Amino acid sequence: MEKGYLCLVLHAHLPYIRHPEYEDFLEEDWLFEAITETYIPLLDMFERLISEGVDFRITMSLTPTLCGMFSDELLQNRYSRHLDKLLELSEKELVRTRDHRTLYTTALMYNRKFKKSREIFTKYKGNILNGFKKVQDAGKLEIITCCATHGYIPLMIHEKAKQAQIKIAVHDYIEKFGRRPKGIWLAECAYTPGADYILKENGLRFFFVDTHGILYGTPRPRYGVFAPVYCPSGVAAFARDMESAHQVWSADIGYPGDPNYREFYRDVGYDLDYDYIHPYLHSDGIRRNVGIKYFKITGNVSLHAKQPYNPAAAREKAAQHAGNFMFNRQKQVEHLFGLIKRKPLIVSMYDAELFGHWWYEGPDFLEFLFKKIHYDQKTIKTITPSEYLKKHPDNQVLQPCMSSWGDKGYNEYWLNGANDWVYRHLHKAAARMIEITRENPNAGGLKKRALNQAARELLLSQASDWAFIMTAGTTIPYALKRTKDHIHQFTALYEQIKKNQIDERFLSDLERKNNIFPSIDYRAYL
Amino acid sequence: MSKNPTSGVRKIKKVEMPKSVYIDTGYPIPERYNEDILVILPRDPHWIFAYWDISDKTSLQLKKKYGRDIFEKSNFVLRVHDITGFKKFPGSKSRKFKEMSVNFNSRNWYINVGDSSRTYCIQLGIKTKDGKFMPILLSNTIITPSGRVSDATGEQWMLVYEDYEKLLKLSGIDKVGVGSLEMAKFLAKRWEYLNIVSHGAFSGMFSGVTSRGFKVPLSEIGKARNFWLIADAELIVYGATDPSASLTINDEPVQLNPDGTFSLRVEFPDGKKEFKIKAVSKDKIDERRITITAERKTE
Repeated sequence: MEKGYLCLVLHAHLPYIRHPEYEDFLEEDWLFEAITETYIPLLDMFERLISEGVDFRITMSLTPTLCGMFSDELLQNRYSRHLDKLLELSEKELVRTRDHRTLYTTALMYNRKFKKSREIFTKYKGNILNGFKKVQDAGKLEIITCCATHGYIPLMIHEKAKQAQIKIAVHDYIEKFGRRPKGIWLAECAYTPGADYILKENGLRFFFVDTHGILYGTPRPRYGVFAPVYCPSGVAAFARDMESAHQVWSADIGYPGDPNYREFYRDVGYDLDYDYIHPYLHSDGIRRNVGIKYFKITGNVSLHAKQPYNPAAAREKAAQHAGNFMFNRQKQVEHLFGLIKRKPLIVSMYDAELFGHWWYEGPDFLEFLFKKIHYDQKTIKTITPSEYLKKHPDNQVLQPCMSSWGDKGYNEYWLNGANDWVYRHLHKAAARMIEITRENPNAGGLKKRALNQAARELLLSQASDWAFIMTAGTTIPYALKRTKDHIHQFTALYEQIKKNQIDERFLSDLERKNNIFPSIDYRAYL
Repeated sequence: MSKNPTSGVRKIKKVEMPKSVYIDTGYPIPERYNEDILVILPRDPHWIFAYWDISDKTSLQLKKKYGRDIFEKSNFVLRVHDITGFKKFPGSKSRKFKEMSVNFNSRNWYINVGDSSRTYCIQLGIKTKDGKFMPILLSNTIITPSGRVSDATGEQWMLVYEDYEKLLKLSGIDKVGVGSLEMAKFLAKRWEYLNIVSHGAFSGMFSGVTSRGFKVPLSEIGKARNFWLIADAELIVYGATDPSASLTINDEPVQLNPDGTFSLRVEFPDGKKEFKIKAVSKDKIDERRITITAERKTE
């Protein structure tokens, strides 16, 4: 009999980036890299575990923006083109490295992996959501939803704007997965008291918060973060366990920094002869990462002093780390079981993209972890939040505190000198959306289309990603562009609707460009 | 640096950077919305962000009442009310408040509030020479987040099934195990500690945009978590110019917000600081300079 549970949660998110107006668009690569390095390897791993009879449970929030991009035909075609290029390059690399044993082994690994990507991508007819859906239907994966466009709830001042983020997300989930979502990942784990009532109205039974969301809740949590709590609404909140988070993120002991693992920043896009690599760069010809990397982290040395990567040694390391992670969870569970006299629940939450994209061996680590938990021990069992709530419907009632999983634990990463100017505009647009919805509760034809598109533009402008990027300081111009474009387009639609003079060409163009949530209903703002 | 003997690849070849086709910072957005508005947002347990604006109509009325140079000459203050326990702003019955002078034209401000888990709302108004407060704008109401383990111990339990829920009495629950206070305090300490040591992990590795939620490294580890206790003075230099202008402070370029405003927050230790602010118009013909000097002495 197990003594406690491990609930692994991967938050899979990318902002909606789709630019049909350009033949080739740099930021679309974020999706393509994530598909090749994270989403397909995870899916491949889940399917392998199922076929080998390994019982496992994992929870993933696939955000509506990510699901929208997975299902979009234009992006599917562009990914296919991108993957073809990668495959072509990896074939050339087999020839180039053929006399160099260590590099050749790695070149072979890429070639095999890209072929596998092609196989899986084709198997699901270009929409890998179908793959995740299958794993969910097999009972191993619980897919939860997220705020419609990753809007940051605590910094919205209109209840209806918050409600729309949830309502539209749930509607989208039902369309994509053929069932209702049971839980949600609030964007950035950003919770504010009262938001749980919106979840309840939408049939959602649980969400996640960072550790202090519950530790600093009122009254004090009897079981710390090792059992979920019910908000006054009856919606359950699960809090992050900091020990298992620390094992991955810590500067001293964090796994992804191991010298044997692949170095992210040493990429052939920078290393190889310009004429050779040029066809695989973007149309502007600037050297960037292309996704083939031959070196390992090595240690605290400069990029040029990195040593060649050894796939077998890296895999071995991932197995060791999985063993270490499991051992620590067993010890933790045994200790807590003695302390709280109830089977503790360890909630380990990570960005999905950590596994594969940033930490290349991350999917291997997870695969080893699931196998070890299945075969080698009896202390811990993996579980999904829904399963846990079924086993333990009795939980403490507690008001979690406003919190997020961002730097410093509150709202500052999304509200500081670099991005605070956006809220004036986001709030105004939300107020206007509510206003024009109230004025046109039963619009039809062109006006209905304009109202729906206005809702899309508002939602896209609210993505927490833009404020995040402004603080992080990477690709700021793009975050500015997206915020301003959507506010500009929303404002234009608002004025056209107010004046009852809708420019159909302008509207059609926007519908074609920003086509997220094809069946959106603007009355979510009613 | 020694050459990597096993590397089959060449060093980076410098390529002339073609002008990127991707640099596009978007369509213009309204600078203001011609409305009376004052909004506050919680940043963390101890800081509130406020932004405001007034309509042309209100502006005209104020000028009529207080003189044309009201926005330059009058003493604008933010009155920060702690209205914990009230459902909404109790008006003149509010007894617990503090005031701070602000420049009306900055249009936003960060306000330090002492206590966490309190309900706040603010007013923006004019303080007349005889000490009277003339309110102009009233904000929304917010509750700041809690920053520590709660003192409340009363426990309630609930049973929730998919279609049914029931509140349990305390007695219905087995209460063995360690007390909630020890548990919560121990975990909170551990959380705070790990938060500090996890800062800066893989700072080079995870600098990408897509590493959402990853704690971005801080240069001053530890200090940042408690900075409201340590940093005793901060200086904010702010202003506005034409949105298309380029601006420098002490010859360092400063990014303008799309509406042409800018602000720079700097720590302010003892000594004298000088800020040479220079705006140059897009066509490089017009130039404006303002120099601000500030001095701080700890006696």
